[in-house]
Amino acid sequence: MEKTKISSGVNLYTLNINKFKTFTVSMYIHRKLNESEASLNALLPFVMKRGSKKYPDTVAVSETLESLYGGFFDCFIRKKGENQIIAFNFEFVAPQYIPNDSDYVNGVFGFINDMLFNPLTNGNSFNEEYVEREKQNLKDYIEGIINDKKEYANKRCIEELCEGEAYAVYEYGSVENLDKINAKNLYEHYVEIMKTSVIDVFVIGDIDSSPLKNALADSIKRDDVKEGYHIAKIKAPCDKVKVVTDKMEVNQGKLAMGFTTETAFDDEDSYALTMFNSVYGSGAHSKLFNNVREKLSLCYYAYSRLDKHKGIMLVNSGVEFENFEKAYNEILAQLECVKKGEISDMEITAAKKYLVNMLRSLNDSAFSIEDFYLSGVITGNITTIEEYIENIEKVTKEQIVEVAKKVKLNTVYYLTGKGE
Amino acid sequence: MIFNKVTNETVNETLYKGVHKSGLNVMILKKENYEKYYAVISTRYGSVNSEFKTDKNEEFTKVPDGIAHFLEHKMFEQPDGTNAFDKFSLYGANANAFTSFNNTAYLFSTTSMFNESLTHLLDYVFSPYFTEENVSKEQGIIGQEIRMYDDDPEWRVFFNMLNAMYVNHPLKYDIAGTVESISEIDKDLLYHCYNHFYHPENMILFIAGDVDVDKVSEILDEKVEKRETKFSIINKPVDEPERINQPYISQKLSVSTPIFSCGFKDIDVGYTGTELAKKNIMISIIMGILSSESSGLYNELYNKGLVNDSFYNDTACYSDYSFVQFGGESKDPQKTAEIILSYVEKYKKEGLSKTAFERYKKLVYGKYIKSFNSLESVSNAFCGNYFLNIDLFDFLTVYESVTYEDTMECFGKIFNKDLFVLSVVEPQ
Repeated sequence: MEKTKISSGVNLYTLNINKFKTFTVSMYIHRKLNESEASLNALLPFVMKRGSKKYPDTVAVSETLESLYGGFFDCFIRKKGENQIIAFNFEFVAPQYIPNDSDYVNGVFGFINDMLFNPLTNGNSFNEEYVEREKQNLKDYIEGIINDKKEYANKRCIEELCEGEAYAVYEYGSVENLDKINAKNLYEHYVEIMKTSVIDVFVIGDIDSSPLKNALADSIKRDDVKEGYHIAKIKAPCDKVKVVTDKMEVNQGKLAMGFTTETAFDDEDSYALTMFNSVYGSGAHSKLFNNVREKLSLCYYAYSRLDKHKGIMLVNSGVEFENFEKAYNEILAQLECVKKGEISDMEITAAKKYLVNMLRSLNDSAFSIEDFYLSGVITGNITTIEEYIENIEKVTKEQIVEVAKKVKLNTVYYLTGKGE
Repeated sequence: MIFNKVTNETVNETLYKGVHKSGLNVMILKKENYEKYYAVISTRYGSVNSEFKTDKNEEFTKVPDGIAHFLEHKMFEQPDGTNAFDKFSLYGANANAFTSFNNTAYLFSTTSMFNESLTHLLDYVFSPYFTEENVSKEQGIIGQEIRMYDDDPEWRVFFNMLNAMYVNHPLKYDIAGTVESISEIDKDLLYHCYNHFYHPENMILFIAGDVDVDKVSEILDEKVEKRETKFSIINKPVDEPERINQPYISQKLSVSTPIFSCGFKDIDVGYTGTELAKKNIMISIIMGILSSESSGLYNELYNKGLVNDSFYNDTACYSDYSFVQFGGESKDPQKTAEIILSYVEKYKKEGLSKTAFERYKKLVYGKYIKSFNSLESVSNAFCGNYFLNIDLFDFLTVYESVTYEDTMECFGKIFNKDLFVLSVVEPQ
């Protein structure tokens, strides 16, 4: 990955490889996660996606993408640590697969540059109709989280676990704060963030990125940017476990358990924590899969996942209401097993190989490569995938046990039936 | 075994194809610069194969709904009490399986120890081990899988739509069956289905990655035996009338806003091979012109606030069933369905736009090229198409034969308002 500094706080990362049939272009704008501006950040890319000066409406935008052999363009909001990241992702067929179309590459960069740097405005304001429509769309999205009960339980658990901290803020913002946004204050916010935010741009594939590089230099004018990345404060352990229950008309109960790990992204035992999670609850070799699902037949899924930026771990499972307690007990019993060092060599080998396989596989997807480097850039701990693998390989059983001892239950969330 | 090497200039890829002496079809997509290897073995046996016989003089027998999926779960059981995942884990391979309407597939991806993992894949898929005890354990796990889907509004709205479209076709039943139907499954029934459908002649092995073709051949010779009897399953032909079951269906669930799925049942079925491949391309083009983000329909629905970002279209075009659908969240599904129908009528009168047709043709080409980026999806696509007698390497020839006139004719046949159904999941 080659890094080029464009201006203060703006960096271009390029990786020229020809293994893929496509090339990808992404822009990430980093903002500090907080309640007051979360909704503004979340709404912005969706308004920009509706139209630029050259492609002023959805019809023009989509027709252009279709003519460019089905180019992909979408926007997302991500949360990494206390960074709320506004993401723009593009993917186009590599020019070598588009014969007899000499204007193709110009067409692609003309489109990307216009969408990113030349948004449709009306004086010092965005298009009002688009802003109102996208507010409604985002509102539907936020309210629609409840439709996926698994994700809903996970989100509720994080909110309760990190209550009162910036990290509890949902990356897509809140319905209440959306109501305060209009075409004018959103445009002002846009101008502000293009001046003051750290911006990372990635180009991966067999393509000359200079048209984008020039557009970046021309379009983003700014003085010295003081903002950096926003590392989250590691969640502190608590004395008393918090228990929260929501009731809803559901057939299956959802159990989500939030733990603190007291381990930061750049701590020495961070790799041991990753190994711990693999042994404990991530994958078909893990203790949770083999005991909660296979041995006790309590559920279809039970797994753990880490958020290393915040130092927390979440365990999720879907179980019958009457089996909540059995599942809860087994999830904790398996954690105790790890803490007591009841881990076989086979489990360690499987956990290690699982992670190595996952890490090596990242190299086969451009967006995955990008995501890996983006995490490194944010935490200031840039490693290559190979270095990461070496560190995982070195982890010992003793280190897993040590890091497991720091893992403590903090919050238990139940989604249960109305009649329960 | 002998492989035939085929190179495709359009996508710049090479495929090795052959039939193993056991009757197993084998294809290898040589991906030299990928770290990953992917292998999938797929059988032409899915949730729709619920009534069959093994001899033409026999009567057809009906098996419980969900048995193909149940069998998929149980294949992981090993005689020594471990499960097939264990060995994959030690090799560093990530294994999985899935059951669809038409196929059951077992797969793994790995960045190391490919030959060992392939050996293990063939080992476990060709050595079933079912006991009363392990069958009953699985009823608990699958029971929870079914309950999970019962709360999944997108899954429910889709199957309800199929129920509204189809009168008899087993497509209308949930792939996993019901808690009741799976309680009728026992080990003998599992062996019965396994022995008949998991016949090498009824299966394909697809591999993608930088593998040693000769070594694959060696492993196959060692692990896959020729059966004494030939593959002999006769599936009961589905007697599906040329009408829908009911025009509207609804259900209440805990959702934020109504979720809908609506579509046309296509009764012009019976195609395979090139004809089917061509039909598939034409349907993609039609659905794009009709309802993509550049279409008049989408923009009217979106601007009126009738649909949001969750709006999608999808197609399923197989030999014995075919349908197209639109879906998403909508505060007024009835109104949305009316507008969809009105656009269909409009284009039937005026014809689809020719410029949109050319644009969409370009998109279909790009989509094909892109599909070779992901080992998983390209392999699964090759397998699915193999069972329909379609060779994905022939794409360009078929693609170039697609004309505007053919596409209009296809549009006229499929989009018949008498075969339109609407399924809605309403908030409680």
